[in-house]
Amino acid sequence: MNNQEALAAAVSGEDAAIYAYGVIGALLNAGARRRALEALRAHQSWRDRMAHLMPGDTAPAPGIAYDFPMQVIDAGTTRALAQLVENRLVVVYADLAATCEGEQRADAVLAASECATRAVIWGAPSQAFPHDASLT
Amino acid sequence: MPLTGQPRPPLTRRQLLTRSTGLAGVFAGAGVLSACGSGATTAGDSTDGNSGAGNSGAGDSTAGGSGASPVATDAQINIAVATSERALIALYTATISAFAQLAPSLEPLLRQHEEHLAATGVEVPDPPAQNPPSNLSAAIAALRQAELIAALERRESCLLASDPDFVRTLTFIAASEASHVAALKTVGRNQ
Repeated sequence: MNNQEALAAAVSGEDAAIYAYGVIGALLNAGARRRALEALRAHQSWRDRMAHLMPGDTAPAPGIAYDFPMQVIDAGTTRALAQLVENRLVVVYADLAATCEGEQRADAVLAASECATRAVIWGAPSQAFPHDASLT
Repeated sequence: MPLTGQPRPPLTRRQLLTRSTGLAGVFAGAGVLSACGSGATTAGDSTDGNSGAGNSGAGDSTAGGSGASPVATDAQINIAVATSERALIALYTATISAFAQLAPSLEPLLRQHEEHLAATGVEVPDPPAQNPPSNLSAAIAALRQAELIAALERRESCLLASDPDFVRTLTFIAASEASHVAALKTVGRNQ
């Protein structure tokens, strides 16, 4: 994976996270909804930052809709979706960190750390090498 | 599709640390979620200016630095990470020994630091014995402080490292330790 591919994966991953958090926010109440909205804003910010690093209009466009790997029907499955999205993004940013240097690498490591932290706050167990364990 | 059900067998170190068959391979084509709309394009050509060299990364001493100041090699960074992980393991072990009731919460975190240490592949001497604070909440606060410092150190190490696979591994460790800070927030609440 080269740097442009890794950046494109980060932009696409953030678009998926933004979409997911729109659904997550709608299904949660009170404090959890506020946390979902904070996460949504964080992902929008990272999406813009990553897209800005790609030349011209080469950043991938968001999908119109996304398939969730499970039914999202209640608070439990909603939190599970948030954990999944965050843990998958950790891997996307670790891949990105390996393709760049300097400020961009610092951003990738920080973003990975934020995603792993949010996954745990949503109830995921911490991991030595954070990733979506349902895929392994 | 099961999502968060029973724990699955952990990935092996080789799977985690090898780009071709590790997490990157697991996620190839999967992305974060699969888009079912149009408009998702992939950018970039296939010019690969910075691909992994396919080595194990951590032990290499590829001093890729430039400039006047001495630059740490990956091997030196790796030893520093191992030393830090060893100190964290000692702190967790001492804390669990002093507060047995915290063991169910702390042992998973301890094991994750043992995995981090194993990933370095180097042996470092035991740190000097340390006594955790005698007060439970102060002991948890000390762990959180140690994790916070470790996460920051790991992020710094990431910026200094040269080998792409090593950078990737350090990114996972930094993320793991940042998440430990959050995990420790809920530890000891019912004690």
